[in-house]
Amino acid sequence: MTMLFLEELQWVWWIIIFLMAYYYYNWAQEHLAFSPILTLVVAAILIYYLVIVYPWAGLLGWFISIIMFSGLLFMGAVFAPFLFRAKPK
Amino acid sequence: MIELAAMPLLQVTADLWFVVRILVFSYLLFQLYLMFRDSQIIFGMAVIVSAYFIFVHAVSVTILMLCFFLFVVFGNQLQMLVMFGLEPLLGVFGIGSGRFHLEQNEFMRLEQKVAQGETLGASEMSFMQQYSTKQMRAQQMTGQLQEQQMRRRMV
Repeated sequence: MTMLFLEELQWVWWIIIFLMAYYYYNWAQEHLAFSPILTLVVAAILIYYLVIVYPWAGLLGWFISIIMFSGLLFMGAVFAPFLFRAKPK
Repeated sequence: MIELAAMPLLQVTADLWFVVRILVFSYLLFQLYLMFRDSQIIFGMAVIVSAYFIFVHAVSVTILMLCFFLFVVFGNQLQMLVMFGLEPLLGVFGIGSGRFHLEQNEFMRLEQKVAQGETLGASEMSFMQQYSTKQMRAQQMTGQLQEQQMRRRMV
């Protein structure tokens, strides 16, 4: 049972790796849209270092960029007054 | 995590630092392209100059940017921290202009006490006398200085 779970986790890990690579390629494409060659070069560097060599760093950067740029923090600020409301006396 | 243990930490740091430089340079390239897309020559020169600064003097540029943000962007905050945070604290130890505020506040508090008709203790009385004499002396000094200046102007 445990082995099965770990094997499935391997599959999940490969999916995460693929998504990460796609994310960094997409980032390069968005930021260097004016030059296809530069896009490929930067995407290759990013994927080599952040997906192949140091996937933990790529994962950390991915999570941090999602937290910073997705609007999660804005949403937190929107719902914070309702979550941490003063109790009525 | 296996990679982290197998690789020397300095190599990891250097590699990730290089990746950070690539990211920063990409952001910068995008901005440069937006600015100089009408002139390829200026764009190219700006790319060369920015690449030089990012890849050769990254640490200096980072320190310079931090200094800019600290002193220019947050300069007013810094000044407020010094004036209203640091100076009163130093004034407790008799340093800076904040040293006058404590006894001035004490004098005002005692004055209010007197105005309300309460009696002062011996130490409070002596403080009041000392402070008033000091004030009077300061005023006399100011008057003398003003007189001297007036005389100099007359002559």
